[in-house]
Amino acid sequence: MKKILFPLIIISLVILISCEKEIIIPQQPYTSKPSIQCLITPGKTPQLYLNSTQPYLSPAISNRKMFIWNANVTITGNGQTDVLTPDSLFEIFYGTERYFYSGSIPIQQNVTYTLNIDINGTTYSAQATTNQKVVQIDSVTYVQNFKDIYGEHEGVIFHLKDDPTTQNYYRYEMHRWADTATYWGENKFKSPILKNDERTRVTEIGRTIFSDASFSGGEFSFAIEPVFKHKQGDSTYVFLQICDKNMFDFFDELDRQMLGLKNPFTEPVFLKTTQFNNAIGVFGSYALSDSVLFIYPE
Amino acid sequence: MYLLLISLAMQGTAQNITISGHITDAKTGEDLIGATVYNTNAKTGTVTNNYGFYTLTVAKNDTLGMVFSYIGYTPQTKKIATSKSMVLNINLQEANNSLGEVVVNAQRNDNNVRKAQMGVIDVPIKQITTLPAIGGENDVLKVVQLLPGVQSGKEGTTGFHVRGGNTDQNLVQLDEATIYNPNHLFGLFSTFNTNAINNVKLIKGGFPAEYGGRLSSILEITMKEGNRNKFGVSGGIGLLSSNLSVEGPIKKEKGSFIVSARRSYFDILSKPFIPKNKNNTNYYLYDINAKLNYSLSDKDRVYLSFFTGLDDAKYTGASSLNYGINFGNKTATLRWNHLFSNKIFSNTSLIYNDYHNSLTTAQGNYVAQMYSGITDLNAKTDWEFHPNAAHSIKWGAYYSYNTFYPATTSNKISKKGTVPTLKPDSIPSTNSSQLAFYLSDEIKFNEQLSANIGFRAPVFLSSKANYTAIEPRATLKYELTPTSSLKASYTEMNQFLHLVPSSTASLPTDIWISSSNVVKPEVSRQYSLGWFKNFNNNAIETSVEAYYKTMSNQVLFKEGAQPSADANIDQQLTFGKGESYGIEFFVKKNFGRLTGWVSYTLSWANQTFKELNFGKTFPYTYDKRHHITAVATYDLSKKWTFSADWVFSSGGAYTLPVGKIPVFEGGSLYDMFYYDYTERNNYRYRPYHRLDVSFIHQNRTHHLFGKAFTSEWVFGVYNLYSRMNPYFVYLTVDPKTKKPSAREVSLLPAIPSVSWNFKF
Repeated sequence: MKKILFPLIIISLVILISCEKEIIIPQQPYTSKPSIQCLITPGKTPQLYLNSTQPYLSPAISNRKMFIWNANVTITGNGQTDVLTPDSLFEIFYGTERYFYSGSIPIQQNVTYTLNIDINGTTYSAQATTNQKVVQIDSVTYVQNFKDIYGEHEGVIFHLKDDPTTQNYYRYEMHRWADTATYWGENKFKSPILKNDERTRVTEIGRTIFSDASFSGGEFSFAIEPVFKHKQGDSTYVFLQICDKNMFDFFDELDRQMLGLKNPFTEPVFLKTTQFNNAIGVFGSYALSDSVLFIYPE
Repeated sequence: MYLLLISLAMQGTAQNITISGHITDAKTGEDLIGATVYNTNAKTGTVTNNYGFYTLTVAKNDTLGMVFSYIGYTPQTKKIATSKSMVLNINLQEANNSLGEVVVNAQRNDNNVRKAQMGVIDVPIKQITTLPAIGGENDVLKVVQLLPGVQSGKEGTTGFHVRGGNTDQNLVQLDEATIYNPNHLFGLFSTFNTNAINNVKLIKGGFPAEYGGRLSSILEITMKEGNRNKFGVSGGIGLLSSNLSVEGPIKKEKGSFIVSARRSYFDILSKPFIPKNKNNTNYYLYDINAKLNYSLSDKDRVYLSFFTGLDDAKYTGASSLNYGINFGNKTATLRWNHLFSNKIFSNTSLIYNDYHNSLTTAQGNYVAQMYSGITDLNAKTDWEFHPNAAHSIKWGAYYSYNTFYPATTSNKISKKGTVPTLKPDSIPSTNSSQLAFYLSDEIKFNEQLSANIGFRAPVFLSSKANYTAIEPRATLKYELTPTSSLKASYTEMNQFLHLVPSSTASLPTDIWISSSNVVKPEVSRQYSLGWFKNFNNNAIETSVEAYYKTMSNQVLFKEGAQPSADANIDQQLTFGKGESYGIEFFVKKNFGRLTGWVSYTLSWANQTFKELNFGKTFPYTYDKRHHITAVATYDLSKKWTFSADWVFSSGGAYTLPVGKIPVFEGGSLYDMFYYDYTERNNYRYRPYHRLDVSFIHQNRTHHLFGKAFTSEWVFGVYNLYSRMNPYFVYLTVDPKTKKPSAREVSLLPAIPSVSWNFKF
């Protein structure tokens, strides 16, 4: 009997079997445009990441080649103009060189700054005002399992009291030491540079910016998913960034796009060129809280 | 007032007489829907309605020449000497499966040329049962997908898109009850058991006023009534499922019944082969159709129809796809036909409908859950009044009370892998009502010019919003010659129920919602122009139809909308407009050893949403430029019949990024590249095409327990040359080289089938 039934089932199963193969799709015409990120905060000198976007299906390209070297970059505020020049930093943990334009004049509080970027005669311009009030972190706690729209994950929880007088946007910043045992998020990236017992300082910044629209003036807590894997007793210093709306709009859109890319049931998010004409990016301002020592309890 | 004027007009037509009655199948006594009645004196005619009733008013004559015909039946010619109106019931004999056409002289159906209607296609049930089908399961919707102006959805689905409309813009009705999801087996074939179906009619433009509620098409399916003359049993055994039908008279020539049931046995057959610890893959479906009718008197007949269908599946694949689905429809329809006179026919219906669809789909690390439930209570009354040869008036009213249970959520799967369940009892319901009135008149101005003019007035009522509308409907016909005509139509339609589609997900996450203060009714305006020409005594029908359609208040999810169980779906939607236009060529051969059709559609469909694609117009997901179908059935001999269909369609549209944006100053959990989308639906799938074939072998008459029965073997192959048509495309990035690439998933290779059908 099974001799008869088996072929029948095989035929039935065929219907439920899908076939998958890699296909070649043509790269559609794409004109690269500048990708601009410049976030200023009082007391620090400005840094500007200026790279060119790439055709999606192009092979991986080095950071050096993506960087736009020939731009004239200035930041003007309070009667002073800071001319930014190309600079770089080798990140040991990632094993890569990062390129940016850096300035020399520290950013001041309550000043409106104008960013001007001239690339081959095309000017990209935007403004940001450093008027964000510092909100301090009340405390930091830890939870092994936290569930939000990003799924179920461990969480470092920030507790704070929102400033009721202004519209605020918050995200976290964490500084810690990393070693060869430290992996980077879901991708299980392991530092290609660090050798046994070598450590380096890493900074992680939350991909989510939280708006206080629904809790203005109240006690607020938000949980973040740490980027780097950790061990019990690892110590970190955490900060709170109090961001302007330009930062919120830009990074919130990035975050929603990333969620859409991971979740096949979500419509794709198109990034808009809101602050710059024909360029993707942000020129934003944020205030930084005092640091709080946080030690992973497990 | 209009009826009064017509009645007054009748005073001047006292020299006319009316011939009316029912046309039925001589063997089974079943009503024949759409049969042609033709008066050779006046060269005028009509067709039977959905209950096999006709009425024709003609000038008095010493002898009236009447021809009654129906596709697949031997026409009957009557010479009538009467000076009074009379009832004339006709029994038509099914034509033998003889080679060649026997009767060619009688008047054949030329409604496509003569009637003031456009965009209407009757699909002969005989054609449906001979065409190849997946797993040998004959399928109404697969055949509908082969008609001009109709685009199929994704590979393997029975969803269809008519003239640039979404699947929810098709009103699919079984004996007047709405079927919200007419699919079985993940959409591989439909819920309609062809053994229980009498007639299938698709209307895609020039909508008569009695139809409403959807923008793009009406698919009207009528169940068989059962043999009025004798008991019979028929059935079929296939690879995927088997079916059985029992029918017979309740009281001879007074009433009849039919019960048809179908069930798959994939779950039963596969059980011994699936390890006990891996019982996550399981599937079964069933459907049951039942109908009875009874003539209370010469003027009264009642019908009771019942349908239930269910699919329950769990699939755990080795790949990234896992899903569990449970969905089903239940409908019940009670109808009462009453003849007030030989000129006034009425039908009143009470309809109950219950639909649910519960879907859990996991793809990669994410899970989407959706529950969509709808319960309808409907009442409607339709009236036909044929005062004279120049007017055919219809009016009626419709009421529907709808209750919706929509919920959808999507999130990352927990580390433990547990998937939460949506509990239908906990989903808050919303209610709405729809009311509609209509009036239309098919007016014959002279031998050449006629029109069908009317309006429909729908009203939508809910606690959140009320809407009213007036929908003008007009179709004009001008006969160029006795075998050709020009037609033009204009229709407006409103739709108060919406299926919110996900354009990117590879599996259905569609959910039904009602109009509200946020979700406005969808409105379409359609203009059509057509030329119709028949050849060879109507054996060959041809047509060319052009259309232009606009659609407002179209619904899609917002960019990045993350469905959540506790979020209001209305707030996750965005609204826009659509536009479609095209031209359809159709050649159909109804008679002879070779029957079938060839169609070609050239069409465009675009959408514009303020919040999507930077506000720019983009191609509709199912915008497919060229669509070609060829369908043929050929009687090889008295025992063998060969059928084939071939379909070609340009690829549909999907969205991929064109650029990648490096972002170094930001979140650091993911890769530092984001996508630069420059246009929605900017890529096209490869063209879709496939060839299906089948051979039917009629066996000799056999005897079992003294009872004679006939049987047939049906051998078929779906997708004969195993074209791996695209199902969906997704992107991946090599984690080491960071080089992006695209992967295409195909669903259905060549699938052979064999089934055995019998009839006692």
